[in-house]
Amino acid sequence: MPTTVVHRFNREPAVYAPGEEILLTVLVSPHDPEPATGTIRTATTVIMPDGTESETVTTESPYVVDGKPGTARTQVVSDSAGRSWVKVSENTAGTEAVFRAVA
Amino acid sequence: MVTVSTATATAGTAVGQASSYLVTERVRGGIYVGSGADWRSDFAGANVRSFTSYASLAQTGTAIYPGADWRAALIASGLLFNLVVELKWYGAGSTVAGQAFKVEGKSYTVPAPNGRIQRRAGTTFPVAWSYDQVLAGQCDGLLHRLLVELRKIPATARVNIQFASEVDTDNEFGTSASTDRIYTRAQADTLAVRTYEYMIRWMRQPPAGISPLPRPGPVTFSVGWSGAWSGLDGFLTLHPETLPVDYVQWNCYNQNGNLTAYERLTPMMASYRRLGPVMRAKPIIIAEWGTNPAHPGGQGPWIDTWPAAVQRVNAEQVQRGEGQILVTNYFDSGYGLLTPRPAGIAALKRAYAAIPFR
Repeated sequence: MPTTVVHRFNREPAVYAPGEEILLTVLVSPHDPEPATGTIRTATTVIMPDGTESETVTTESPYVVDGKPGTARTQVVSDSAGRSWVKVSENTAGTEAVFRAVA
Repeated sequence: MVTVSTATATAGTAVGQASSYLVTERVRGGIYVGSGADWRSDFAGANVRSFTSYASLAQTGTAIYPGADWRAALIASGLLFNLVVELKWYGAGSTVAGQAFKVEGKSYTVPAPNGRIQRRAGTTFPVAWSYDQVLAGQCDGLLHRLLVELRKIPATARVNIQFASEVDTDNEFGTSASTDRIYTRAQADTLAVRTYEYMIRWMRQPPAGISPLPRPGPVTFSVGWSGAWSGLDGFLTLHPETLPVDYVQWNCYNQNGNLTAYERLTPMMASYRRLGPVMRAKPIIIAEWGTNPAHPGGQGPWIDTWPAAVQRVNAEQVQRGEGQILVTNYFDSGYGLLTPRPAGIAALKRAYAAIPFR
């Protein structure tokens, strides 16, 4: 699953008066490569104490390997009104970052 | 609408995202005190950023603008001056007789005002230059005399010339011009819009040989209106798309019943929203606002609700892409007289320290 990023303001609708604090939360879904799937084929031969060998028995079973979540880091890159945004917080995995500006 | 963009770096790739927010305008909180009194010491420390004064076009230019040194000082310090200039003759200090004078070498003969406005039965009708006289060019000398003073306004100042205090109040019972022309309300409204267009255009583009006001420049124009009580038709008549005003304006009083500040603002907002797209993009001045001291709770608590009500209107307007309220001047006289005064002043200080005024 590709990374997705969602913005959420601390007010809905996002309308502010001059001087008010604007908080923008950026939510990042965990980075998740495509899971890998396949089949494990096992061949088993039983060896008797007298040295005879049984027939080989073959088994097959499916496997799934999940992607490992990575870390993300977010920055504000532009504001069309030229406002300065400061990062207030970001968790270790980078799945949630909060930015602050003044209207 | 403002767009903020982020970039998220993860596992060797970058993902961008953008979203939008809106910011409303900062609003100027202002004051008028009865008789045009100097209110500076009463309101010391208050975040007052605009003020109103009233003058008759009958007065000499300097008596109209700035009218007093203390007003010039406030204008120089950055306050927006909303100067009401009326065709109405005020009485003492001006003349009702005809005048002959020269302005910048041009000779003018201005007749006595022959109009009557605010023709409420049982009252003495106020005297004013009639719409006919203005449209016949007979008041051009008065306009030229005012123009000379307005040209002296510093480039960094903000002075709004509000022609007419309330056109609907003037025309409510029809108007007259001399004894033989009596106009209905509708006829007066049609003459009024032509008159105020004439006056503003004269100030903006005076006749050849007369220097205009600088543009862009510190002077703006508007035409006064009372409120929604006078009817939508008259308001629409007065505000065609071509009306050369810089602001649309009206007054807002909590009288004849006790309603919330937002309920008092919304009727004229509804009228404004019925204007054409050019007019309803213009910013709004609430030239007078006030609340009746006799209402339960008094003035203070009602005044305390004013900032949030103004902000609520502006938040709605900014989302529509229409004009916002930029100025609200409290009218400390008549309907809004601050009673008791210290509590009223304290309430206005609180209000003007709050969003969206601060």
